[in-house]
Amino acid sequence: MIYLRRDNRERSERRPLYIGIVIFTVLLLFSVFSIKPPAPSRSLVYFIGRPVWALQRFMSSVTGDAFTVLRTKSALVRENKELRGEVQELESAMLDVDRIRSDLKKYERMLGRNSPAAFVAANVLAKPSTMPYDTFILDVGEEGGIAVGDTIVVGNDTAVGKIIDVRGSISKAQLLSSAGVTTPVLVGEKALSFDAHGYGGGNIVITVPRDLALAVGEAVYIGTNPRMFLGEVDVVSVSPSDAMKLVGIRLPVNIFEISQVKILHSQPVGDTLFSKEPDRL
Amino acid sequence: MNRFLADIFLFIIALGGYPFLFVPLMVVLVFRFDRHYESLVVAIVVDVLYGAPLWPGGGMVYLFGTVAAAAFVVAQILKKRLRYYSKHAI
Repeated sequence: MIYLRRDNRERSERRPLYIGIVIFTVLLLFSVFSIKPPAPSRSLVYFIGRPVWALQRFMSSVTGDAFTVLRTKSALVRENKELRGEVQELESAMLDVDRIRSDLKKYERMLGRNSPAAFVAANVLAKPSTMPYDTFILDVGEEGGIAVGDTIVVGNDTAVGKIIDVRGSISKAQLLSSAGVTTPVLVGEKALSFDAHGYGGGNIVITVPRDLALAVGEAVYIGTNPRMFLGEVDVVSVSPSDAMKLVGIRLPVNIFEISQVKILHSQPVGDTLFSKEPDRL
Repeated sequence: MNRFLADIFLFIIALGGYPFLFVPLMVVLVFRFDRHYESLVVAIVVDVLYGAPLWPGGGMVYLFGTVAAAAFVVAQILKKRLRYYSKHAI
């Protein structure tokens, strides 16, 4: 009897080890075979995450305000002057933007192209800036007409990511800079076609032939309809022994500071969600 | 009570998206407490919540879950072999 009791105790002590090994093996197999977690578990974790993200936003707003109180009056006056200057510059730049936008619409109409943009605005609930995954959690989901594959846009036409998961009132977007994401892009005035590779943390790189001349500041677009802006050529890295060179792309927005985005529908949906004129039969 | 508070803290920093705090704390808790299954659960939650394909054409990787499970297994093996844990049963 004593022998049996000792055996039972040892087995009980080893149980956590076996459970750990089983979980490790299952997760490894799920990773190898790319098995996604079941839909109910995704809904559950989104539900659990909401209060934590609300708390996070509240804490960041409180700490932000606290530091503002500690700043000196002269520093605030200086910043105010700088911001006024920036506002004036932006206002004058906006005049050009409005004119260019109306010209573009006119030319599109002349060419017979009809590319209605169907946007939905969304707040970013969570952006794990230091995670290996470059993902955004957005507060719009199936109920807002969002579908997997929709493009995430910042500003007027800057694409930053794609929707990869949608639940009832929440969705997850993967950024184009996420590790392993490959995006077909068009570079420069000649619209040369290449693949842009994400490296995580807002880094996107294109590999081009060494002899191809690319100037810093040349625009890089995603070849979608309507064409979306991705960024500008920033750093060109050439190694003497390589036939190719690496071109780093500078995004026009800091992905860690984005709090609101627009979601461009792949397929226009609904009639209250977007700025498209209803089709006339 | 300590375990409960540590779990809540772990949960908040995990869902807040701070892996530089979450991963070390998870490893510490796995070694500090007996059968700390909560670390595994939280790590899998992080993977499900923020996880994305890491290579073209799919490739869902359970990065944090796998690391947590490995840490859990190593902790269980070491706890049986280290004299510290036989003296300080937690």
